[in-house]
Amino acid sequence: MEAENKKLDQFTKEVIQDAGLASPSVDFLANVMAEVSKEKTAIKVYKPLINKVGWLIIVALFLIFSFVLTRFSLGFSILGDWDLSSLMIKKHEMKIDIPVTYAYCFFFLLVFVIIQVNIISKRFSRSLEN
Amino acid sequence: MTQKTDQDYILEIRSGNVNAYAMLVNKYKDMMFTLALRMVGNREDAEEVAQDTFVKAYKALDTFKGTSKFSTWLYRIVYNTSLDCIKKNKRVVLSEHIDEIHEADIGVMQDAMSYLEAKEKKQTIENALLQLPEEERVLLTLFYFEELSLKEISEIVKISYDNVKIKLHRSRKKLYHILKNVVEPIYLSHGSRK
Repeated sequence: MEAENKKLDQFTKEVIQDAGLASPSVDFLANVMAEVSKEKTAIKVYKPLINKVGWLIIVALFLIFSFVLTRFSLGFSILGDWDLSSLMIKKHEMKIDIPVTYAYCFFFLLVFVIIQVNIISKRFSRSLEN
Repeated sequence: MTQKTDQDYILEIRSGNVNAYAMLVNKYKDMMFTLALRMVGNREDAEEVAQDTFVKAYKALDTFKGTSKFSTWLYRIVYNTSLDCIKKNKRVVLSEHIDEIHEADIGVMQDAMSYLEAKEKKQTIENALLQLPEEERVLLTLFYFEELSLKEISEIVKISYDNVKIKLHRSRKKLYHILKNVVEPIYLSHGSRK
């Protein structure tokens, strides 16, 4: 039984190797590459907008500001004596009080928007060049 | 100069050199086409399946992690694409009846096969393979031609190691009987004429 299996195994190997490989048409490679070239624009390696270093800087800045704001909250002010409420239009003696926390939030949001708009615009112009 | 590996070409493609893919297509096109042909059974569909496979593989190249060989990954895609094609065409291959095989008979068959001209032999084997179920044709090709291990084959066709072993055993018996029915009469008639 074992000898038969071995002989059959050898016979099958010879048969399959004798059959060899079939070849596709001559323009097969050209056809595949034409299809692949169409896909080229669709395939882009994912690159995050903010890379690892960027995230580290953001986290570091966040920690520093959190520490500074909590440690020196009484005497520390980036915005100085700005009174944002004075920028608002006063109509019919309407008064709007803008809290200091809101002013800080607005200030940081502004900073991030300016930075991000700059990064995004650079990224778009780079992708259009490619 | 050292020859570039598949991984080298993949890195080139990932860095934007699409032409590096042509090297991989050229390297594997015959094997992919043969596997597709043995699955779907005709050249037109096989060419379409092989082409689709290369395009699919290109699109999914970023998902290839390199834990298996690139060729194994490609064979898995061509196998699945061929199955989709077969499902679409809904072809069914009838199973061959398996009789006992005796060692002496195999020797006679080897003589009979060597009697055939190379081109005739190739065509006879191809026709015999087409009478086997699609999965078994692929198993035989991957094991006896590409010499992949049972483990690698089980990853490609998604069946267990033991199942691959059993199916291989059964398919080589079937192939033997199919060939015997075709080749032996020719061989015997030639012998009687002598």
